Order: sequence, then structure tokens, then C-alpha cells
Amino acid sequence: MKSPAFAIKDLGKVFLDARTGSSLSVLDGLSLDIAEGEFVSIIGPSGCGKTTLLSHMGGFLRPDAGSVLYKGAPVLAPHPERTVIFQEHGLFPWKTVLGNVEFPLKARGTPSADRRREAGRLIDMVHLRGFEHSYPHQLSGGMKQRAGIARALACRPEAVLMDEPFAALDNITREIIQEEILRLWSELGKTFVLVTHHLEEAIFMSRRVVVMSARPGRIKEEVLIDLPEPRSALVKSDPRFTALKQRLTRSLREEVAKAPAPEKGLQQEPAETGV
Amino acid sequence: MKGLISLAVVLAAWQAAGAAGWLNPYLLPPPTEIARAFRELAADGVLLDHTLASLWRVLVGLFYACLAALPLGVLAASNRQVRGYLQPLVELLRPIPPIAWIPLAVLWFGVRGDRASNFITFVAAFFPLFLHTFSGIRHIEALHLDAARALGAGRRMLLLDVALPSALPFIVTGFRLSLGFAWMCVIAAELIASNSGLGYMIEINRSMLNTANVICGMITIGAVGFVMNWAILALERRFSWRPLQ
Repeated sequence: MKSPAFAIKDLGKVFLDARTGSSLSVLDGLSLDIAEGEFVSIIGPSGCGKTTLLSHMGGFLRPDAGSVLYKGAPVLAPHPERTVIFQEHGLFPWKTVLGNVEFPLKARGTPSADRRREAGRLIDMVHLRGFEHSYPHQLSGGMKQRAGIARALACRPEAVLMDEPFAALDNITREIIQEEILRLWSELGKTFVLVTHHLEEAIFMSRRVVVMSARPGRIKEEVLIDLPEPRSALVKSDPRFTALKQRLTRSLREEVAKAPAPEKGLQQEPAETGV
Repeated sequence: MKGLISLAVVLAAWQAAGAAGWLNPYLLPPPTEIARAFRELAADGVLLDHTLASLWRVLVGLFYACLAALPLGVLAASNRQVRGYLQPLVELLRPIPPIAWIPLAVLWFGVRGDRASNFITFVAAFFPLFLHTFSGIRHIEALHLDAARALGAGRRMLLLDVALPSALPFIVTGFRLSLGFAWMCVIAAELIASNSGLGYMIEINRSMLNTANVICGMITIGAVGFVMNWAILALERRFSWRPLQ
């Protein structure tokens, strides 16, 4: 195993409800290493703290216990080196596609002409040429997600964190974008972390799938996905894919059964974006 | 179309009532008399001069209100300390109608010149602009702030590329309300504390029992207010990044 990009040790997080004064332990004693250049998916029952974990890796939340290290240094704040691909509404609605993609370049102080060229190249890469001057509300869900990917790549990230990035897409678009992300991953050789509740997606995209336990979340098991690469839709009919899916379904079901009554509201884990 | 019909009916009835001698022409002259007064006032440029005087005061007050309200609104929204100091003060001053400041403005600035009226338009324009800037900045989605920070934005970009454009639709609405409010208040200020402007014009004509001219002034005030509101609404549509329904 290469040196870890992320080293998470005994991570604990407690959310306090300011109104009722009650506290909710979301993560407890969670440890996980992610190697550089790896593609890891994190799955788990609703409300298990997947998003909370990702927010810690992104630097949006500080641990209450334990530590989150990135390349050996504690993660204290968001940084473009570990960027996040949000769901489609993470785009800035007041900026065009070009403006959105140029944003991280501008933040880095890239001169305007280079910015334009670099953003153009990324927009080509995600097949959005011709839509540079469209605003997000003029795009379809899939196009918005592509723009979000181009914007994240403009950070020249070493690690890309994704929180249910395909949730709002229809099936076909979802598959196309999944394949595009895999292509980018193999071209760029960066670390990708995907949080999803979609089992097939996790298996299809990852080299390793991490299953989280019911709340308070910790790592229940890690499954290496030894399917052939580069992945294509054919992989899904591979008997090993089916076997992995059955195994992970079982594992996930055990946790769902353990989880306290299905609280739909907790899936969003609202406190997590409150930075 | 229906609006035009009802307007024509009212004007015709008014004219007829005047011709029948039911109306005291000193209290309510007929429409033809008002139209004649309008032509006269417009022809010798009096109406234009007074209109421009009032407009100028609104612009000056609005200018200073922008200068004060935009930075204060941004500061109050983004800094808890500033908010703590500023909010009680604003809440205390806001319920005082700007026209209640007129006596004080007269004491401070006198009734000659523009300064008293400028001050009143400033007071009128400040609060809507401040409050809309404030709530615009407070309404930024956490997701957008998170995204901006994850993309490497520093303080400057957070302000200029995220907070302000995100709040712009609010700010433009505040600007429209400020303009309308300042326009109403400048007329009130001029009734008392000025020797030019549309407010002054209708007041001086009242004292000379020139009722037709008073009504001309009122119509002009309404028309200018209408045009300003319409122009800013167009501006609002232009600057709103929100998808329009």
C-alpha cells in the first residue's frame, strides 16, 4: 500500500441540538486509511454519518475526538487540494459555466487569459463546449454535474471528495457521468472518495468499498473490489460483481436492521453544512 | 384597456360636474383647467426645474445612503460583533418615520438650499437598503459558502464573487424601495424645508390658491414615481440571477 492520503484515527463527532439540549453521537471511534490514488466508496445506512465523515475530510467540520490527517498533517479547514464535488446545486447560480469553472483558478491568482484557456480545456473535457455562457438554471441535471466536475478539477486537486454527486440524476445520465469520472480518475491518478447509498454504484466505481455501521458510525468492514479495470458496464454482469453485491447487501442489511427507526430527516444530516 | 375606460369616465364626470357649477373651482378646478395649467408650467420650464431639483435631492440622499448602508449591511451580516452593536441601534431608529426628522433637519440645516431635503432622503433611503443588504448576505446558502471555501476562495473572493452577487437580487429590491421611499419623503421635506422642488411648488401654489397648479404638481410627482419604479423593476429583472418564473 502506498503512503496514505487520508489517515483517520478514532474519529468521534457529537452533534448538539441547541433547542432541546440533547446530543447525538454521530461518529465514534472511526478509523480509516485511504491510499493516494485510490478510489474508495463509503456506504452505510441512512443517518450513519457518511456525510459527516466526508465533511471532516473536506475540513468543514473539526473532530470532537480522534484525528483526521491528510498527507500527515491535520485537516483544519477546506483546501482546494482536497476539493469537493457537491450535488448539482453546489454551482454558483449567479455565474455562468465559465465563471464557475474559472472560480478556483481566480482564487489561485491565475492571470485572466490563462484562466480562460484552462477553463476552456476543462469544459471541453466534460463535454460542455458551447455552454460556457449558460447559467446553471439553463442546464440539465447531468450538465450541471459535469460543470461541477470541471470546476472541482480546476482546483488541480490531489483528492476529490464526492457526496452523493449523482443522486439527482436519471439512470442513464448517472451511468454516463459515472463512467466519465472513472475515466478522469484513471487519467489523473488522484485520490477519489465517494459517499453514496447506492450499492451498485459503489462496487462499480471503487477499488475498495467501506461499509459503515449504524449510528454512531464506525467502519464495519472494508471490501476490496478486484474487478477488472478499466471498468465498463460489462463488469456489472460479471459473476464476481453479483457475488460482491450479495455480500455487501447482506452486510448493509444487518446495519439497517440495527439502525434506530428509519428517520428520513436524518439522512440529510442538516447540521453538517452549518459551518 | 379597462383602466383607460374608468379613467375616461372619471375625467368626464369631473369635467361635467365642473361645467354644471357643482364644484368650487378654487377647491377642485376641472380637468381642462388643470391641463391648461400643466401646459403653462411646462412651457416656461418651471415644472422641469422643480422636478429636477427634487430628483437631484433624491439622488444625493440615495448616493450617501448606498455609501453607508451597503458596507454596514455587509459588515453587520458577516460579523457577529458588529451585528451585536448595530442591530439595536437600527431597530431603535427605524420606526421613526423619515418625515419626523424634518423639524430637526430644519434646525440643523435651515430651510434654504438642498441640505435639509438631502438629509431626509438619506434617512429615508438608508433603512430599506441596509436591511435588504443585511438579509441578502444572511441568506447565502451554506452550500455555496462551503463550495467557495473548498475551491480556495479567500476573504476578497468570498465577498466579491460569492456574498455580493448572491445578495444582489435582495440589494436591488432594497434599492427600489429606497428610491420610492426617498421620493415620497423629499416631497414632504420640500413642503416645509425648501424653496424649490415639487413639494415646494405645490405648497407655494396652495398659498396662492392656485389649485390647478397644485394638482399639476401632484400628477407630476405620481408620474415620476411610477417611471422610477418601472425602471428599477426592469433593472431588477436584468440583475437577478434567479430563474424567473
